[in-house]
Amino acid sequence: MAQQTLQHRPHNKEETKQWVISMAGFNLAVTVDDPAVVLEAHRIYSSFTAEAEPDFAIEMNVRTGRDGQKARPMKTVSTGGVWQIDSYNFSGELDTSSASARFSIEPNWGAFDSVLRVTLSILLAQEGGVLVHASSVSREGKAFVFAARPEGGKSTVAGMLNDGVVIGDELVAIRRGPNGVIVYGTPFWNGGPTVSDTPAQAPAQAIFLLTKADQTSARRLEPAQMTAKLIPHIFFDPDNLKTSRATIDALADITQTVPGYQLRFGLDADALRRCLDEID
Amino acid sequence: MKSTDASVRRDSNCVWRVIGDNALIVKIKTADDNSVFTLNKTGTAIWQSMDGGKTEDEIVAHVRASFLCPEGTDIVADVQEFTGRLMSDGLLETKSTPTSKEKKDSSKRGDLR
Repeated sequence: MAQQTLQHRPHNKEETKQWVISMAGFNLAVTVDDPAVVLEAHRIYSSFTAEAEPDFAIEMNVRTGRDGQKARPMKTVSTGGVWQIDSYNFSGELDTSSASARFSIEPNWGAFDSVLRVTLSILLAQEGGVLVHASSVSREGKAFVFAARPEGGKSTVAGMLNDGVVIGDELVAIRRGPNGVIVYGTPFWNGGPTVSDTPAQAPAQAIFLLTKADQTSARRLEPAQMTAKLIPHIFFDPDNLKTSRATIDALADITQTVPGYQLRFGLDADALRRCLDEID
Repeated sequence: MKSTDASVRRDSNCVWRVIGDNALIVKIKTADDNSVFTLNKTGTAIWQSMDGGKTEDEIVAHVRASFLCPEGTDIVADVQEFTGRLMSDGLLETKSTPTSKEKKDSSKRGDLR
């Protein structure tokens, strides 16, 4: 990705309108023109604020006159490296060739959050990564990822593994790199604005698809099967052929490197830990 | 596929990738549980040959040449059944090609010139 020569200001000043948010190996220079959104965003994403040279710039300008729109599916249209994105709470353009994006947003942190999620998912797909609805726990420096639908047990399993470090409990990034596949925590946690004090990351050890059960057991899945079952848990725009292709390619590469399992789990934390130890 | 002279090709709204021996197909615009398909090794070979340039007869010949089929296997019926399932799942689009008779007639007309 092209390096930008943007200058960012110290992040500990709440009135700062431009600062750097670091997620999944991307340093995003974020500029927002609304003091209230800036204040809230600083508070919610403070642990992901970085003193780093940005490699992508996002400009957000609060819009007026479109308040109160109903939620609707996001639409993206891509031409070359440019994405035109239209959602109920933000719209604008993302250009990977110039490593920049410009959006008009609703005047609230939810719109800011949506922009970050969508931007991250597009950047990840270009770099062999995905944003997954999953929790993840690092045990002895190795990341275990637990994908599930809402109410499927992501937070429960993360909470049961109190011998590890929780990387994320709602959306985590998985990305291939020169040192293998890495799982990254994101600011997107269950229940809204509550994020980890310390963003965590670790090499991926295994990916699990969760099913609630009385007993705990894990069954290995072939990469193709694992990829197919993981797709509904990936954050991407299924209407867009280009992002779909990039995302599925990235996911297929990941599942061919990191073993995948169907995990039936009960509420016995010791049984869960033993199960993970056996495949460790 | 009813006619052996009609060719089929993968729907342009499908994203697919071969992982190991298995093709994974995603029908985009509806990427939920019901729009993700995995094919076995034989199905993958057939899917890969559905590029719009091959007739059913050519696909059958491709399968016959690529796999050791048990004696008595009705490859034509198997390919037709498989193609029908892909079609009903919306993963294929048909492309008309001249029938054998039309090809023959065309050839005859050429001879007369």
